[in-house]
Amino acid sequence: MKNERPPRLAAWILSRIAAAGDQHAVLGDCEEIYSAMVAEKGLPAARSWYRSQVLRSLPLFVLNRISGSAAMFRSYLQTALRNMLKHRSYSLLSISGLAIGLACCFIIILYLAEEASYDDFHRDPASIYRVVRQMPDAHGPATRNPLAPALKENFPEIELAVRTWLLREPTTFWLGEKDFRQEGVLFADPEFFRLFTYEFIAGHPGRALDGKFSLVLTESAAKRYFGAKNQVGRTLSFDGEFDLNVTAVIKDVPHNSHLQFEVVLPLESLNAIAGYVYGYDPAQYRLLDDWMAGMINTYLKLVPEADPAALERKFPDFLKIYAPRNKELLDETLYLQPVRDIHLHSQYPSDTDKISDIKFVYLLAAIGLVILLMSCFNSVNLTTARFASRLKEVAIRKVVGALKRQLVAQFLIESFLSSLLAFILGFLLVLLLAPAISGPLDYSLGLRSLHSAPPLLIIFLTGALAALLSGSYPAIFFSAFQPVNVIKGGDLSSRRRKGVRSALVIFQFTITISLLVGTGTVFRQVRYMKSKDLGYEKEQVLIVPVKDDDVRNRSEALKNELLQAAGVSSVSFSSVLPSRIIGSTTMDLNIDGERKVFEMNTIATDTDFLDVYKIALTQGRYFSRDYPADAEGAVVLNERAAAVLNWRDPVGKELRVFGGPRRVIGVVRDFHFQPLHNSIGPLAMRLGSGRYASLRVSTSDIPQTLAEVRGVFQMFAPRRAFEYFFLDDDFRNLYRAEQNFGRTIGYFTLFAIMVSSLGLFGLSLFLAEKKTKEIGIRKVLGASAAGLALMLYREFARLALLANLIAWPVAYVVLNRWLQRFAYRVEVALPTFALAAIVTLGLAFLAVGYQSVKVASANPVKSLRYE
Amino acid sequence: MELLTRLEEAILIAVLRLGDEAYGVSVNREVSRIFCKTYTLGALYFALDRLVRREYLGKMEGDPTPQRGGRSKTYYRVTPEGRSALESVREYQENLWRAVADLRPVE
Repeated sequence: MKNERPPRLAAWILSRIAAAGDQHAVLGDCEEIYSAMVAEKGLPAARSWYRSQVLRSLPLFVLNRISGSAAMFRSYLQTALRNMLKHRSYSLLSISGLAIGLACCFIIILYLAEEASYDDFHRDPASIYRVVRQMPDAHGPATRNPLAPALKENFPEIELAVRTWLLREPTTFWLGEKDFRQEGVLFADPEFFRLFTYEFIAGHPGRALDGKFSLVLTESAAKRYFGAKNQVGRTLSFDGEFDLNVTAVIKDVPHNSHLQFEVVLPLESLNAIAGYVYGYDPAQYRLLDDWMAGMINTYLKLVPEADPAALERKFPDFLKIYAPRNKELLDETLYLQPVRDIHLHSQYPSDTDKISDIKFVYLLAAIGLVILLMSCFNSVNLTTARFASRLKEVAIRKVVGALKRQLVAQFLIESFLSSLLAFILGFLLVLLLAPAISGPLDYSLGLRSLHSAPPLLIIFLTGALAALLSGSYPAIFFSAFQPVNVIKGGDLSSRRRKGVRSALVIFQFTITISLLVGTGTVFRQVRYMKSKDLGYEKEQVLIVPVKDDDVRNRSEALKNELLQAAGVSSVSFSSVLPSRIIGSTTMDLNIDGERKVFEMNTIATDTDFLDVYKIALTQGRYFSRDYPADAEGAVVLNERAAAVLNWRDPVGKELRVFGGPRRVIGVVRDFHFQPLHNSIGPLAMRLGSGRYASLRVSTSDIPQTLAEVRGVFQMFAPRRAFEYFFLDDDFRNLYRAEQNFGRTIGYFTLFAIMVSSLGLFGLSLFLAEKKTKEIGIRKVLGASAAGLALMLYREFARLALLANLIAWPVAYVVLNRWLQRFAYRVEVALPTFALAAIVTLGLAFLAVGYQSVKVASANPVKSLRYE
Repeated sequence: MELLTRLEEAILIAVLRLGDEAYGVSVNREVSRIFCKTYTLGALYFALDRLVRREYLGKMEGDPTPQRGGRSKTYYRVTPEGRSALESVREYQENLWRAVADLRPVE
C-alpha cells in the first residue's frame, strides 16, 4: 500500500501552488486523507478524489498566495519609499530625467498617432485609391482630365471614380455687394461625397453636387458668409460672374486629411469657370473632355474583392484604347496609391504643404527612443552609483535569507515606483508643452489621439519599458553578488561597473553632440537659403495678382497710374513670379550635330522686369518699347540656357521657342527662380504681360503706399477685392518645411541636453561623495581648491572628448546625406562641431563645477572624521 | 469590527473543540461534520491562512507520520484574539435573534 503514491502530476501542481512555507503541511494533509481513502474505497476512487481536490482548489490556492504576498509587497513599497526619501537628490535627478525622457516619447507618440491617422476617417479607407501618373519627365497625381469616367467604363472592379481639382489660388466670392476672399475651392464630381466621408450638417450627400452651379460649404465658411442660420438655399457669386446655390453644409474638413478645402463646386462648373478664367469659349472647348489636358486628380473606390495590383497591370492595355487620338498616352504609366499612404509616402511636388515624409517620422521616432534610453541610463547610472551605500542593506537582506527573486522584486518595485512618478510628471509636462511644440507641426498636437486605444496603450507600454530598462540592470546586479565579500568589506568599486557607467555617459554625450551638430547644420542651411544672393532683390517688392483680362490689356495705363503712387519706384508685369517659375516647355534641338532634349523654363515679362528685380544683364539688351518687333520675335535667355545650348555668343542667334522662331536679344545673369533644392535651369523670357504686378516700393510709409496702390487697382477693377503680398513674406514660406524640421530637432536637442546634464549632475554628486576622503587627505597635504575641482572635472572632460570623437563622423555622414537634397548648400563645417564640443565640455563643467566647488572648499576635518 | 465568515467561524470552533489535535485533516473532518458538506482543501487552507494572518489562529509545526508520506503536520491553536472574535460573533448573533424573538411564526 505504501507504494500507492498519490497522482504525481497533481501532487507536483499542489506543491507549486501551495503558499510558500506551507507546502509540507498541505501535501501531508492531502496524503493522509488520500491514504485513508485508499484503504476505505480503493485506489482509483482515492486517485480521482486527489485529482479533483487539486483541480478544484487551484483558484483558491492561487488567491491565497497572492493575498499572502500583498503584505510582502507592502514591505517592498515601504522600503522603496524610504530609500527614495533618504536619497532625495538622487531620486529627484533620476525621476526628473526620466520624466523628461518620457515626455519626449509621449509627444512623439502623439505626433506619430496623428500622422498615422491621415485619411483614416473615411468609410472603408482601404478600398480608396488615388491614381498617379508616371511620365518620362514628371510624375504626380495630376491625371488626364477624362480619365475617371473612362476607367469606370472599362473596369467593373471600380465601384466609384471621382475627379477633383483644387483651385490653387484664392478667389473672390460675393455675397450681394460684399466680397470675401475664398481659399480652398475644390471642384468635384457628384459622387465625391459617396466616395469620401464627410459629415453633413445640412443637405443631402447624394444630391449636394447635382446642380451645375451648386455649392457645398464647410461649417466655418458658411458661418463667415451667412452667420449661424439659414445657410442652405442662399446664393453666392463666384468672382461676380457665376451664381452658386448653397445646397449643403458639411463639418470642417478634419486636419488629418490630405485633401483640404473650404467649399466644393461641381466639377461640371469647371468647364464654364475655367473658360472664364483662362479666356476661351466654353461652348467650343470642353476642358473636362480633353485627353490632352492633364490636371485633374482621380480617385477610385474599388469593389471589396478587387485586387489593386491586378488592376494596375491592366492599365497599359487600357491606355492603348485611347492612344490613337493621343499617342503621348503610351509614354505614361498609371499607378494606384492607397489614400492612406498619401500623407506619409507621397513625394510629389504638387502635393505640397499637407504632405509629410515617412523618413522624418522615423527620425523623430528614433530620436524619441534614444532620449528615452538616455534617461533610463541616467537612472541606471544613479542607482548603480548608490551601489556602495546600498550594498550593506542588500547583504543583510541576503544573509537573513532573502531569496534572489525577492531582491529582484525589491529593485524592480523601486524602479517602477520612480517610473510611475516620472510617468505622471512626464504627462503633466506634455500637457504643459504640447501647445508650444505644436507650432512647427502645423496643427495643434491634440491630446485627442489619447481617446483611441492604441496610442494610449503604447504610452503605457513605454512607461513600463522605461521602468524595466532602468530597473533590471540594478536588480540583476544587486541580486547576483556574494554577501560575504561585502560584509567582509571587499572591493566595492569594481572596474566593470565603472566601465558600464563610463559607457553610458559616453552614449549620452554622443547623442547630445550629434543632435547639437544636426540642429546647428539645419539652421545654418536654412539661414543660408534665406540669405543667399538669389540674383535678384526680393526685398521691398509688393505683389498684386491681376486677374481680369481687361485690366491686363490696359497694363500700360495701369502702370502709369501706379507709378504716381507714393513710394512706388518701378512696376512690372509678369506671367509668374521670379521666386517660383513653374511653366516649362520641352526643347528637342539639334546642337552641333547632337540631339539634345531638355526642359526650358519660361516666363513672360514686360520691359521693366529687370528694373524692378535688379537682375543683371550680361549681354545684349532687354526688351524695350523702342523695338516693336520684340513682342513676337525676341527672346532673352539666362546664362545657363546659353551654356546648355552651347552658345558662347548667343545674341543674334535664332531659337524656336514660344511657338515660333525668335531671335536672342540678350542674356541675363542666372538667378534662382526655384527653391534652392534645385539648381538653376535654363530659362527663356519673352515680352508679354501677365497675372502678377510687381511693384518696387520704398519702405518709408508702407500704409500710405498700400492705400494709394489699392486706390489705383480699385479704379481699374472696381468689382474685385484688392489682394497683395510682399515677395519676401511669400519667400519665407518656401523653406518652411526645413525651418520646422530644424525647430523640431531643436526642441528635442534641448530635451537631450536637459536629460544628459541631469545625469552628469547626479554622477558628479556621486563621484564627489565617493572621493570625500581622498579629497580631504589631498587638502590636508596642501592641494588647492582649483586643483581638486580640476581633478573631478578631468574624468568627465575625458568622456566628453571621447564622445565627440565618436559623434563627429556619424553626424558628418548623416548630415551630408541630408544636405544632398539641396543643390545649394552649406558644408558640414568645423565651427559647428567645435560649438558642439564646447557646449558638451561646458555642460560637464557646469555639472561638475557645483559639486567640486562644494567639496573642494569644504573643511577636510569634516570629511576625514566621516566614520 | 470585521465579522467572520460562516466557514471561518466553523473553523475556529472546530479548532477549539479539537484542542491539541487540530491540524488540516482533522479540522476538515470537523467542519464537514458541522456543515454536513465537504469543503475542498483549497477553500479550507484559504480560510485557515486568512485566520492566521489576522492572528486569530496560531501555527505550530508537528511531527511527520508515515501516513503522510513522511511530511510534518501543521497544528493550529486559537489565540486570545480568535476567542474574542468568536465571542463577538456569538454576541452579534444573539442580538440579532433577540430582535426577532417576539415575532410569532405565521400560522
